[in-house]
Amino acid sequence: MNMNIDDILNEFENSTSTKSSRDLDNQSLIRCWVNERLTPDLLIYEADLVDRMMERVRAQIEFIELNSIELQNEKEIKLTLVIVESELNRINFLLRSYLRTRLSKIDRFSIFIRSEASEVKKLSNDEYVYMENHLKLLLDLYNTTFLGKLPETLQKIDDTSGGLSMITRPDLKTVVFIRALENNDITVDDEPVELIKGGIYALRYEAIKDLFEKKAVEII
Amino acid sequence: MYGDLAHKLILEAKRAQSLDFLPTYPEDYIQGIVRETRELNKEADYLLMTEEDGNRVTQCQLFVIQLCMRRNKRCLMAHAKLRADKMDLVAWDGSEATKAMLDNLSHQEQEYFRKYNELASEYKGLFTDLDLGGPLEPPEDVFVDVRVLKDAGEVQTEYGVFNLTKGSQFFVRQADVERLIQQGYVKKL
Amino acid sequence: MSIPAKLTQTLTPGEVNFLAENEMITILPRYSLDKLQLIGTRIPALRPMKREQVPIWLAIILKNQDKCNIVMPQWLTVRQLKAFYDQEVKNSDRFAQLPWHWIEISKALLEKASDDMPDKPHEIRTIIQDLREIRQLKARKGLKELNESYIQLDNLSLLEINELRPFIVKVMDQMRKLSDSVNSGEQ
Repeated sequence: MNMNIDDILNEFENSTSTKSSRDLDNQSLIRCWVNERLTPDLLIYEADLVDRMMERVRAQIEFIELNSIELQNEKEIKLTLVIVESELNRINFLLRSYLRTRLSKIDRFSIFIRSEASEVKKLSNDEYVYMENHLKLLLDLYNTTFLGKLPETLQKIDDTSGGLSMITRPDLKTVVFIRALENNDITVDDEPVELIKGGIYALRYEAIKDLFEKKAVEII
Repeated sequence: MYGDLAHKLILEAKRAQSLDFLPTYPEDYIQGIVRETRELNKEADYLLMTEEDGNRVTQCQLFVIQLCMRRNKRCLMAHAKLRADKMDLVAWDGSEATKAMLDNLSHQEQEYFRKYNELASEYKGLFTDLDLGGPLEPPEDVFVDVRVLKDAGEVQTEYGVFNLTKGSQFFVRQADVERLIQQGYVKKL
Repeated sequence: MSIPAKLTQTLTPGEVNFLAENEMITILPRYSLDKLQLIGTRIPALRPMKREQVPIWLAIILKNQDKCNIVMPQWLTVRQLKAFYDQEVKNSDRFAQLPWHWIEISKALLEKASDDMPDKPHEIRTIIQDLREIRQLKARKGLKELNESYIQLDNLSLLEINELRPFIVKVMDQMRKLSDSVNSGEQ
């Protein structure tokens, strides 16, 4: 036995740190980002997760500011800073892409989202304010350039009459790629399909939307 | 023929989609389509006034007119939205809107662009630590080894002062030397 | 739009690579480094010659600065890769079970840590290329069975799936439009 106390402690910390809350949050954020990127509809805003990550981002920026001033030539601190800053960049990218992907969906489906209470609930307060303000700007633009000059019956922006809807909504028939996390029987176009745990499938989002929400499949 | 102009507008929009700038605002098309739609509406009003009950031919005419008007509107909306989408992206990317792009905007679009810029900035301001306008491609090496090709004097970075004498090598934050790389003073190894 | 249209409902190769870099790998540190609390994980204290698991992005930073050696994953050996290749040849109807990020990880390690490979890097590179080609060929054959409802793609890696994504989506959507118009014509 040539293990010293430090090693044992390290061993212990390693086994717990692999499941630390930071690791779990990091994995959740990656998952949320991938999901938001690959699903056709807007998903629920992960407020608590984003808040926790933002808090840690702030602390890390402070750490860098505190340490980068005095280090100059100290090799070890410099390496530490390289690592800290590289990771900060990676997390920043994830959060940035996640938030902006959401805004792009909110922009695309804003009129639809406003018409459904269950959709509005998926937005953060800030996202809701953004959506309303953006819509107002667009309406102003449409009204002053053409909508205001059309016959009165055609001036509404959320018109669905006459068999031609002016509302863009998520296409739930979009093809998505999934990995089954458990066995399940589903129906696709009236045809039974057996999802086998670990199997990878391309199919229509609507066929697995429920299973996705229950975390029985993951989007890839 | 009815709908021709709307068709041209959509072709125009399709073309604009693949460009990385916005072509001139097609004022003539827009006004033409608006005019056409109003004429169609007048025709519909006239038909409605003179309609004999249950005249199937008139009903059919009315139906077609309605379809044309709605299609015109849909095309106008799609075209306007596509241009707005492009303006929005410029506001997010933080890239300075080129003068040429602003020139090609209609007066109303310029107004929209100015206000959307403010709106996007407001949202970015909620996450000041993130730089929401930053790149959407994953970060690559934050730090790189560079060799100095030409004497460039001293450069101040967060990590201290570097004296860039020809032939020397440094391990630096890529963002700090991006400019010098472009200008040919240093080279990534 | 707040993101370019090309980023909707797909991942870029760079993003798939980003995901791969978050996978863990074993390193053999050559220097000591105190343990480090990061935003998304905690890096254990590094001691020379004491194996640790770290994310690939970190392993590459350390390797770039000569602060560690990277322990090659078990599958990234000529022997193991050849076994995979044999399976690909033998089973025409399914793919060998390669890791989820085998292409990106092997590429990164060949580029940044080829001196840590027990095998000859050029041999590894050749088999990786062979594997890539035979799997592409099989995937293309398999796509003949594409219908409008679903397709199964077991054991393909994320990068391979991502490459097939635009084609599969396009074909399935066109089939759907066709059958929709046939159905509405029948009514």
